[in-house]
Amino acid sequence: MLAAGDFKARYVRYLLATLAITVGVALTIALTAVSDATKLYVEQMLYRVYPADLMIYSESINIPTQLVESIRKIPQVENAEGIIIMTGIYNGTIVSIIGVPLREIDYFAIDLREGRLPIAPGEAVVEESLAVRPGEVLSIKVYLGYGGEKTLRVKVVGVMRSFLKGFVGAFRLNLVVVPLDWLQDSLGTGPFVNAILITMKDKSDAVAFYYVLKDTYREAQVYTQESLLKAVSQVFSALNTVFSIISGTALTAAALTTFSVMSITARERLREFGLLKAIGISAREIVLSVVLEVLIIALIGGLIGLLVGFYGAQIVRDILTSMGIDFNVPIYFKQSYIAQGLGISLAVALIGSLAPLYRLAKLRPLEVLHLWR
Amino acid sequence: MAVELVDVTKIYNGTVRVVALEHITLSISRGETVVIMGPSGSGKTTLLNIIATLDRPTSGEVRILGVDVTKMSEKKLERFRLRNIGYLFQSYNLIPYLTAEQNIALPLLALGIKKELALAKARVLLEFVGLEKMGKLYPHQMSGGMQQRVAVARALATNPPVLALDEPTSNIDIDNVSIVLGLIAAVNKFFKTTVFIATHDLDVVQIANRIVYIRGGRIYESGEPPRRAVKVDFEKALESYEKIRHIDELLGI
Repeated sequence: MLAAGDFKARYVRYLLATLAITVGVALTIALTAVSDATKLYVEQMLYRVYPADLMIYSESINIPTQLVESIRKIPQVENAEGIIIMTGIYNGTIVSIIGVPLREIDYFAIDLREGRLPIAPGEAVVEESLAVRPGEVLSIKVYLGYGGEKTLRVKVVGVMRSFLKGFVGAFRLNLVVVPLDWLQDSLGTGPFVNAILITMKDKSDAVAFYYVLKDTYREAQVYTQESLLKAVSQVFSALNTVFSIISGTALTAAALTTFSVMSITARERLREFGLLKAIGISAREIVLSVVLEVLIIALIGGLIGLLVGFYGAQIVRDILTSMGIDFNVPIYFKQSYIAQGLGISLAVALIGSLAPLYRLAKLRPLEVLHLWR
Repeated sequence: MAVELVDVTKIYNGTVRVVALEHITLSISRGETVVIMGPSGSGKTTLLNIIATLDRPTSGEVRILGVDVTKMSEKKLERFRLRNIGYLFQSYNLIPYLTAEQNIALPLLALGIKKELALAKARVLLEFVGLEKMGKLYPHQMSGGMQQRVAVARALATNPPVLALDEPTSNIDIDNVSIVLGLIAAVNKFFKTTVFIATHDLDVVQIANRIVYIRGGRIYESGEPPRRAVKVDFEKALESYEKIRHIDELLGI
C-alpha cells in the first residue's frame, strides 16, 4: 500500500531513474548481442573456410609433400592437404598468399563475387578487400627465409567476397589464392610445403592425433580448430573490454541517478518515515517498502532495456547495412539476456539505493520530530 | 500502574549541554488523562516523547504497563510501541498519498492483520470520530480538524492502552477543538486508555484528571484540575465503541 501510493506521487522522478536504468541495460544488452552475434558469425565462418581439424605449420617451407601422402594413409585421417601460407606486400598492403593444389583450389570455400577460380599457373583469386578486378596483374613482393626477396606476378582471374565481411579489422587477411605447384616453382622450394591441413574421420580423434603429431614433428607447430578459435576469442575479449567500459559507464550513470533519486526521495519523505516509525511501523517494513519501489523501477527499467537493447541492436545493424557498411550479422536472442538484463538492472538499482536505505534504517523518529518542529 | 517514571533525567549533549528533564518521578494509573503543561522549552514535549518511547532518558527508569522500556532494544521498542502506544503529532499526522481509511489501517497492517479486516476497523473508527463518509478522501481533501480526527482514529487503531498527544488542538479551528477534545474524553471513557497530552491550550484542561506543570525540566506542580463539562455525544460514541469492540474481538487485539 505504501509503495503503490508513493509511486503515484513521485512518478516523474522515478521515471528518470527507470530511464537511466533502461539506457544502461539497453546498451549492455545491445553490445552483448552484437558481440555474441559477431563472435558466432566469425566462428561459423572460420569453420566454413577452415574445415580442417588439425594443422601442422612450419615457419619455413620445409615439410616434404611425401609427408602429406603418408598422413593421408593413416586410417583415422579422412583428408590431408599440403599448402603454403605466406605473407607478401602488394602496393604497401600486407597480403596473405595461399598456395593450394589446383584440384583443391576451392578448399577454403571461396565465395566468388566475379570472375572464376584459377585453372592455370600464375592465376589467382583475390579477396575483394584488395579492390582489384579480374584481368589485372599484381606484383607481390615476398621475403624468403634465407633473407632473399622475390616478386611474384599473378594474374587476377577471380575476386572473392571477404569471408569476414571486413567489419573486424583484425581479420582483414587480403587473401591471394594461387595454385600450389606454380608457387613452389616461383619460389624454388621444390616439393615442399609449410602447412598440412588434416581432416579426421571422427572429430573426437583430433585431440589424440594432435598429441601424436606434436610428438612426431617437434620442429613444426601443430594447431587444432579450437586453438585457432582461441585466437579469435582473444580478439573478442579485447572487443568485449571496450564494450564493457561503455556499458559500465552507462550502468554507473544509472546507479548514480538511482542514488540521487532515492536520496532526494528519502530526504523528502523523512517526516513520513519518522511518522511511520513513531506509529510503530518497523524500520524493516519501511526499508522493505522502499526496496519494493526500487525493485519495481529496476524491473520495469530492466525489461524495457532488454527489449530496447535487443531490437535496438538490430535496428543499428540495419541502419549500418543500409548506409553501405557491411555489417550484416544475424543477431539472435538468448535466454541468458533476460537474466543478464534483469540481474544488472536489479543490481544497479539496489547499489544506487544502498546509502539512502541505510539512512532510513538508522532513522530515529525523534530526529524527524526535531527537524520539523 | 499504567506509566511510572522514576528519577528520569534527560540531557542533550550537543554544542550546548541542555538539561531537558531533571529527576522526574511520576506514577499514572490506568485510565487517567494527564495534561502536561508548561512554557516553551520547559521539557513537556521531551517528557511526552519519553513516555511514548520515542526518546530514551539519560538516567532513571521508565516503566510502561509494568515493562521497563529504557533497556529495550530499538527493534523490540518498535513492536512495543505499535501494540501499546498511540501517538499523535502536532501536525503532519497523515501519510499524504493514502486515504483516510488507509491511514487508519496502517498500524493494523503492520500488526499483520488482513487488509480487508484492517479497513473494516478503519471504517468503524472513522464513524467513531464522526467522519464515516470521509474514508476515501486524501488528507489534502480534508480540513486540519478533520485530519486531526483521522489521526486520533489511527492512534486508536491497535487499541493501545496508552495515548500520547502532542499539542492536539494547536492547528485546528475552535469547532474542531471541542470535537477533538470530546473524542479524547470518549476514548478515555470507553477504552480506559491512559492519555497524555502535552499542550499550551488551556481548553484541554477540561478533559484532564491530572495536570503536570513543568518548568525548567522539573515538575513544578501536579494535581487535579477543576473539571469542566465537555460536550460529547456519548450515546453515538457508545454505539461506535460497541462496533469497535466487536471488531477488536474478531481481530484478537
